[in-house]
Amino acid sequence: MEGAAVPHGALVGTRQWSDREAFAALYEEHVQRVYRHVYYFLGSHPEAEDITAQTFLQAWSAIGRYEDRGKPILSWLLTVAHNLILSRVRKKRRESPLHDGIPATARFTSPEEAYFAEWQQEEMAKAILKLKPSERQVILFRFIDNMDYPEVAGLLNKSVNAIRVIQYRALRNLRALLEEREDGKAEAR
Amino acid sequence: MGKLRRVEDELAECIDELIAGEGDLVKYTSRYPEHREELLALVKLVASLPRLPEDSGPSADWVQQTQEAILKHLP
Repeated sequence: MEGAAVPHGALVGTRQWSDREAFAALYEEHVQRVYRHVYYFLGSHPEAEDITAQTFLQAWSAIGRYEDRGKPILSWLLTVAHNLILSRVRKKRRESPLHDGIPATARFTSPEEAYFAEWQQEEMAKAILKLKPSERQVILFRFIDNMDYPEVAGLLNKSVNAIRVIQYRALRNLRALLEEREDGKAEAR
Repeated sequence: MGKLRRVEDELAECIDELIAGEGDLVKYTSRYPEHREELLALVKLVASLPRLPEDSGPSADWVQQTQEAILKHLP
């Protein structure tokens, strides 16, 4: 996985991100991962490009706040990206109330198969968006990026055991969210 | 470590092994019969997570051009 081998946050504490050169290094280190996470939810390259660029621009203007908190930089960047994704999804929903704003990326052979897969993917994406940031990030790193525990632990600056437990809680919460949506739909029918 | 945290740790380990296809479902579900349904549902949930294709990253040109554009914006 691109970017995974780079020691995340290696520059934190030794350089100021508000330095242009350091910010360029931060961009190079994390742009791939931010982009893929945005693409996972929006399913469109033009939108992923737009939101990823906005993420880094917003990160630059808020970089002072990051430095004050000392949170892992990738985790913080993904939170900025997540807020932008939510704004985009809400905007699309306002503009087109019949669509939930999260398209499916896969292509299928029959309309029924496509409909079911799209529905399933939308439900899953919406539920993942509702998880706590640390849970969402662990789910995406582990199962979307196929990263192993030590890699995720390094990126999020936590122990392997902590990541394992966060993953377990995230899956449990994801299951509950999906069941809630199912129950809500059943009641509406 | 509290009892709840210990059970969470052990269930998390069960999930890992089951996902990797290495775990013995009967062993785990007999050790934690009250969590049998949950363990099965979570393993199924992981299998149903939509995956991203490997080529879903940005193009090298876009990465380069965007970096230049962003750096131009910075004071």
